[in-house]
Parts: sequence; C-alpha cells; structure tokens
Amino acid sequence: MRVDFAQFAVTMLYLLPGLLLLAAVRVIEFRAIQIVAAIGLAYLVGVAMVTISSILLLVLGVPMSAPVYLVVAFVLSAACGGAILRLRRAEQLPLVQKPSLSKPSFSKPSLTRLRAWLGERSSAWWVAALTVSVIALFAIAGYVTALKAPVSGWDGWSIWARKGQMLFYEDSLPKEFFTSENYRFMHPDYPLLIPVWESIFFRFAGAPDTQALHAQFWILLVAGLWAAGFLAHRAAPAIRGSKEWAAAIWAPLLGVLIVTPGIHRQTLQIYADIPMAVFAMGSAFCIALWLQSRRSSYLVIAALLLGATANVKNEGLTTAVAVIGAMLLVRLFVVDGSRWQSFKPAAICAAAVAALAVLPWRIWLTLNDVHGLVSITDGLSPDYIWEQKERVQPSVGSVVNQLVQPGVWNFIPTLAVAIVLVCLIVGVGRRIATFYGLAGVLTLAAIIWGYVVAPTELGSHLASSSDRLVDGFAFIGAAAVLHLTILLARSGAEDSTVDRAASGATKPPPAHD
Amino acid sequence: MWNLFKSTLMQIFAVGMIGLAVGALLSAGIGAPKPRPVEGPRKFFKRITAALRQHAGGLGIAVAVLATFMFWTQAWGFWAARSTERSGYKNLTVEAAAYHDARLGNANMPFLNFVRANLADGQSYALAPAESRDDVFVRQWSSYVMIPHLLADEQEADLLVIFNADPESVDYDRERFAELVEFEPGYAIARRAQ
Repeated sequence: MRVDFAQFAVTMLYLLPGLLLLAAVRVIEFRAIQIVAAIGLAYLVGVAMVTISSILLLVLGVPMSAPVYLVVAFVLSAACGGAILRLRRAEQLPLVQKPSLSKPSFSKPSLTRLRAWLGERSSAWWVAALTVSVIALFAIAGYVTALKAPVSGWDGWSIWARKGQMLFYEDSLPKEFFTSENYRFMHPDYPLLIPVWESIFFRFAGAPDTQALHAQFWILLVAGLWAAGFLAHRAAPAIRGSKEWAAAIWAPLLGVLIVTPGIHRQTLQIYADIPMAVFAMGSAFCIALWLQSRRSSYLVIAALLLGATANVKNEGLTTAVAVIGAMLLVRLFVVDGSRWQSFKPAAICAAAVAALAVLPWRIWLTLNDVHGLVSITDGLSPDYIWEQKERVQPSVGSVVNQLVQPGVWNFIPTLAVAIVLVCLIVGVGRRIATFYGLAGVLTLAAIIWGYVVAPTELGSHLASSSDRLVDGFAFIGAAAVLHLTILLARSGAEDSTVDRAASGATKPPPAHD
Repeated sequence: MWNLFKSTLMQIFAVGMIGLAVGALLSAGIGAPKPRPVEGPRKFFKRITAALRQHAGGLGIAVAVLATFMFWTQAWGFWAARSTERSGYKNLTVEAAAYHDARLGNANMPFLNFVRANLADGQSYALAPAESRDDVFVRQWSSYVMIPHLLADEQEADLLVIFNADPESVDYDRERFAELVEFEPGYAIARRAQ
C-alpha cells in the first residue's frame, strides 16, 4: 500500500514544479487540455529540477530526507508560481482562463449526441484515436509488469540501485563509500541523478523496494514518449488545417517506439542508459523547436533537460556536449535563407545553464580526489588518441552493428538518417535537419571516442556495453524521425510555409497552439 | 517468416530512401540547382531530386504509413510478451525480486543474511580469503546485500566474513578476530575481540 502511495507521491512531486515551470515560460496555459497534453514533458522537467537541486544540496552537505525533498519541490514550485503571478499581473490577465459566456460550459451528454459527434470524426481521427488508445493500454500493461519485475541487470544493482540504497540509508553523501578503493567497481565518479531519483522513491516507499522501482523507470519512459508526442504536436499543430491529420502522423511513430524491443528490455534492466536517452531526446526536440519557432521558452526547457542528461551518466555528459555543439554550430554557422545568422547569446546561455547543472558533482569529485577510469587530459591528448588508433575500427563496427539490428531498434536509427538526408535535399526544415544530423554525428563520435580512450580490454568492453551506449543516438534519431516526418507531411499540405516558418521568414507561431 | 518479411520491407524502404537522398545530393547538391543542361545519369538524379521535392509531403505520409504497419504488426507480440512476463512474475516476492541476480554466482544468500543480522549499526566488515575477496561476483554481490555496512580492509573491519573456505586454512589476524562463529561448513564470521 505504501509503495503504491510512493509511486503516486513521487510522480506528483515531479509533476507540480514541472507543470508550473512550463506555465511560467509559457509553453502551456492553465487549461485542462494543455495540462494533460504536457504531463510527460512536465514530469521530465520536474525530475530534472528536483534531482539537480537535490544533488546541489547533497554536495553542500544538507541532510536529505523525504520532508526535505518535499520542501525542495515546494520551493521550486513556489518560485515558478511566483513567476507566473508576476507575468499575469504585468499583462493584467487572470490566472486561469474562464470559459466563454457565449457558449454553454456544460451540455448534457446523450447517446444521440455522442453518436452524432463520432459520426463527424474523420478517418484520420479514428487512426489517431485508436493508436493512442492502444499506446495508453500498452503503457498501463508495461507499468503493471514493471511493478513485479525482478532486478536482473548487473549494472542495475551493482552501480545504480547500490548508490540509490546508500542514499536511502544515509542522509548525506556517504563519502567513505565513494572514496574507498574497495568500491572502485561501482564507478564512484558517475553522476548522481539516477541514485538520487531512486533514493527519493525509496524514501517515500519507506524501504529500498527494488522490485517496485522498475515502475519508476517505466513511468520515466512513458513520460518521454508523452513528451515527444506533445512536442511533435507543437512542431505542426495542424496538417491541412486538421489536428487529426497531424496526430495520425505522430501517433504511429510513438507506437513504434513503445513496442521497440531494445527500449522495453533495457528499461526493465533499470540501467541509466534509457533515462539518459529520454532526457537527450527531450532536449534535442526542444532545441529543434527553438530553431523552428524562435521561442526561447523551448530553449529554457532544453537547457534543463540537457543538465539532466549530463547528470545521469558520463556518456550523458558527452551526449549533452554533442547536442550543445550541434546547436551552437547550427545557430552560428548555418546559412538561413540568404543571410548568415547574427550571433545570439541565448544558445550560449542555455549551454551555460546545462554546464552549471553538472558543476556541483564535479567539484565534489575534485575536492574528494575521486577519479574515473578515463582522465580528461589523456582522453583529449592527440598523442594518446593516436596510440589507441587500432581501437577505432572495431568500436565503429560494433556500434553501427548495434544500431542496424532490426530486432533491437525497429530501424529507427536507419530511418532517422534517411529522413535527415531527404529533408536536407528537399529543403523542408533544412536547419532542423542539419541540427539533428550534426547532433547524431557528434553523439556517435563521442561514443566512439569513449571506447578509444578507455583503458579497458576492448572486446569485453564492447560486448558488455555497445548495445546500451547507442541509446542516446537512437533516441535523438527518434526525435528526428518524429519531428521531420511531421514537417515533411505538412510541407506537402501547405507548400513551402514550413521552411519559411523554420527559417524565421514568418512570425513565430502563437504562444499556445 | 513474417518477421523476415517486415525486416526486408523496412530495409528496402530505408536503404532506398538513403540511396535516393545520397544520389540526389551527389547530383544536385544541397542548395538550389543551377539551371544548366544535364545528360545521362545526372539527368536521372536531377529528376529524382525534383520528384523528391515535389512529393515531400508524400514521403512524410509514407513514413507514417510504414510506422502504422510496424506498430500494428508488433502490437500483439508486445501484448503477449507482457502477459507472459506478468504470469512469470506473479508469485515473485519483493525479496526474491531484489535478489534475483544471486543466481549469477555463488551468492549463498542465507549466509549473507546471517552476516547482515550480525552487523550492528555503523559496523564494517571484510571478506576473506583473498580468493573470495577477488571474486568479482562475490565482492560486488555481498557488498550490495550488506548496504549500508561498509566493505573495509581487514585492519579496519569490525567483522571478518569467511566465505567459501575452511576457517582453519584462512590466514587472518586471530588475535584481532578472536570469536569465530561457523554458519555452515566453509562459511563463518569472526568477530573482533572486545
């Protein structure tokens, strides 16, 4: 019973500050339909806000407990709520939009009216509704399965659940564990987001229930897919003037993601790779939306999600660097129509926010003399990389082999490459396609770099990790497929308006679709 | 057979799209095509580029149709797999689920539970003999089960855990760890002398 309460309580703990932040930066308004649509993104943003703040407090030596985590969420929510109130006051708007008086706010439902309403629905609506319903059913089925799943992944218990339990039993950072040579195997230098996130659940559950913990990983995955659907809708709210058509395009793509065997299997291994990839997908999608719409609110969300990506694991840090690199390159150097982009500090600010999110843990590691397997000095030394050059080819081979396995990724990475190339050629969302392409290439390069500079036996290293380390690339690819497919479909319906909007020739779309 | 068919279809589609795109790129470049006469293969690729541009919307729809096909053909498999998993996990207790990976090596969970019960708050332990200490599974698994007790070196530990060895044959500081308690043959703990 308490575990069920914990599942609900921690979800609310993340949802509240997440939703308020989305409202504060005007990604959503306080309307029921927008709140429901944004729940997935709000959850991801909330996890990022609460866990990154908690890591800072832990590093500062604040003893953490369930009430303290509640206070953290409350303070973050209050800050966002305060920002919303100030905005509303400045614009002299009511906090909640009241329903129009000209329309009846409530009409009595009747079977005849329902039948008439259903009869008016288009075929696209039926496709979208049926697909979304089945996805929802799968999400629930996956949740029920996850609730009873056993702990069956080596790193899941040996690294992540171990640290999560340490933070459950100890109120402060257990320095003696992180600095002991006896615990080198648990990679004490790995970032703390997942252990903190797990320990928050354990504290509300009252015990380190690693069985029920699987459901938290499943909720995070479903939130990621929900967020992707919401962002896809924002990329093109209507095709041929119809929301149903747009939904009929993105819903099946989300469906493919939820049934993809590699994603489901890895989620229930409770490794950190899928959470990292979910945050990376959200951040890449938000940056691409920022490039498309010029609305800096998406950049704020992206910065937070990039901070979370970098705080999940070391590969998350390199993935975040790759995505930021792609964003800066596109923003600074890619020709927009007939002119070069003028320099804008927004992208630099977003990169700085993401970097700040990583800083507390890195400072703690330095102060306590905790080092990882790879020294950054060695890793970036051209001489050292040249010495390791024979590791490049097998690493590339293994990583590419993982990405093209049909039984694992459902061809999502291959499809992403194809769609990015097609968009570059046909000129639909070219800047966005360039961003996704660069982000993918840089992410892949970062994975290969990690293998090349690691002081490990390459064969076993690849065998034990290459199936997981490609998750970031695959999920960024999924964002590219969702985003660019819907832009392609819209371009056919609305001629070249998409590219004009994407390149900034037209005004940004209204704040709320 | 069905999976092979789906896989082949998807491969053909994706590779075909990449092929078209790369061909068009090589032929026309990314920018707007310059009006000049074209012949032979160039003309062929120019036509492809033009066709792609003309039917961009159709490509988007094609991807959505393909995704619909992929989703619905895998939907039943996904549902059936989750049902099978749920049936398999039905009687799994929280403890059995937590220690499921004990099967990966010689975990001896009853002994580890006994050790944990003998550790007071804040006490640490050491593993002996060296073979057990250096065994990757024993070291990682036992230290996982023992959280929040710290795995320490013998000189600093409050309790010595003798794992899979005859205590008589193990080399340890018998004066420091004077009180030996055998759990079962090969498994014992030695408490620090008061």
